Amino acid sequence: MNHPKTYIVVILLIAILMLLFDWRGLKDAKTKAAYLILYVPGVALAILLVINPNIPGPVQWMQPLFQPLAKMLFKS
Amino acid sequence: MKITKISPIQIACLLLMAVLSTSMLSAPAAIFSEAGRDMWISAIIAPVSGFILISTVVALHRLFPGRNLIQYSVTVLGAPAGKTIGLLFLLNALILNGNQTRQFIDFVSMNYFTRTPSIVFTASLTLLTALAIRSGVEVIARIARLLTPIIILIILIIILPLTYTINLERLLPVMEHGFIPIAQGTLALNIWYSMFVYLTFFLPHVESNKRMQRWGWISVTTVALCLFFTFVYTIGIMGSALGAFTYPFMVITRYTQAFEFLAHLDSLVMLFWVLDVFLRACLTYYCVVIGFAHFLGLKDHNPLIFPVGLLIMCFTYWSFPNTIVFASSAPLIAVSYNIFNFIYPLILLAAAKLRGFKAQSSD
Repeated sequence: MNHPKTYIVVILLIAILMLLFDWRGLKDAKTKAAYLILYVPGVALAILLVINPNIPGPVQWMQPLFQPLAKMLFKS
Repeated sequence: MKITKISPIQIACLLLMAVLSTSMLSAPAAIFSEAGRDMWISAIIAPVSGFILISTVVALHRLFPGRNLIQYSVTVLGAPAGKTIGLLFLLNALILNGNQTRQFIDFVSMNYFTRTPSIVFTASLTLLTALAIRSGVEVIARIARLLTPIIILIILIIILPLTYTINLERLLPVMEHGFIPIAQGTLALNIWYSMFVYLTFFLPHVESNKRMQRWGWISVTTVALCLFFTFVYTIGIMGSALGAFTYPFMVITRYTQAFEFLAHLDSLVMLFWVLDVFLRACLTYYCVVIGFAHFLGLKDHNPLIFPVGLLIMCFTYWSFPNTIVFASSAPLIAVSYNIFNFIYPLILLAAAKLRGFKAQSSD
């Protein structure tokens, strides 16, 4: 990573713009809660991926569960 | 809220394009590593799972009219189990979304734009798709209906001039290693055929279940034909050298010459791929948005479009530092798709039948 700080600033800027764009459309509390449930992990994940692109992802979490099955079913 | 109605043909086109987009380019290499030169037999057997899946999803919609998989999995399995598996299904769909975007950016930056940072393609594709979804399901369906003839025409233009150069002797010997490699190839092809499960998110908008089932089957048949011919052409032209390339289809189009003066048709592949991936992204992105809206109990899905897009962009890069790691994760992802997109609807239908839900519409 060349300039992680610049990237984080850009991501935060986009995140704020997104929130400003969407917030008026969110009418009741339930919609706001649902929006934040998806929005907060998204922004957090984006920042984490900029700081360390190699954090283990969902495919690595699948490995212990599905690896035996994958080995049995597929050659490669 | 007004319920928009779309025709079965439009959804059949959308599903056809969605399945064809990544399979035309990356299936030959993936299936060749499993089934070898018998992969065309896999292409004949594999659509069976597509037919089963279409029938299952339509049968489930007859039991629960106007509702989709996320909603009725709670009705059938009860709140804790249904919600948990629904969330896992949505996570699987997010992984699928991230995967297709990843394939798109890898392909584009490997073959055409070698110096542009890949985030440009990820962001532009996601933003464009988000805007299409914001316009509503009707728009997506109509774009699919509009672009399908163009895309089919491009495929024919690319593939027909190659007919002179194929050598069918390269397909011999048939079944050299018995049936097991073919079965493995069929399972691997199920990565694409299992995508037909996303029909469930469109069924509430379609007027007639019966006509949808027929058009769904036509869609599966067309996918099967396209894949079969792609496989025969790629093996017939390249033989065993096929295993050396990531995108064999791309390589054979560089051979294409029509009437001795039309060459460099690989730019057409770019056109085909961009249009097609856009349609596929429309379908899968829309399904994730609808799924999350129902999962979180919202009536209107529009507010969730941008946060889901952000998540998709994260899933594109999450834990795939390069193309090699990405390619080696394919078997794991194939198992995950097979479980959530193919086996789960079957289990759901069996459970619904066993619990005695009756079909509510005769259509």
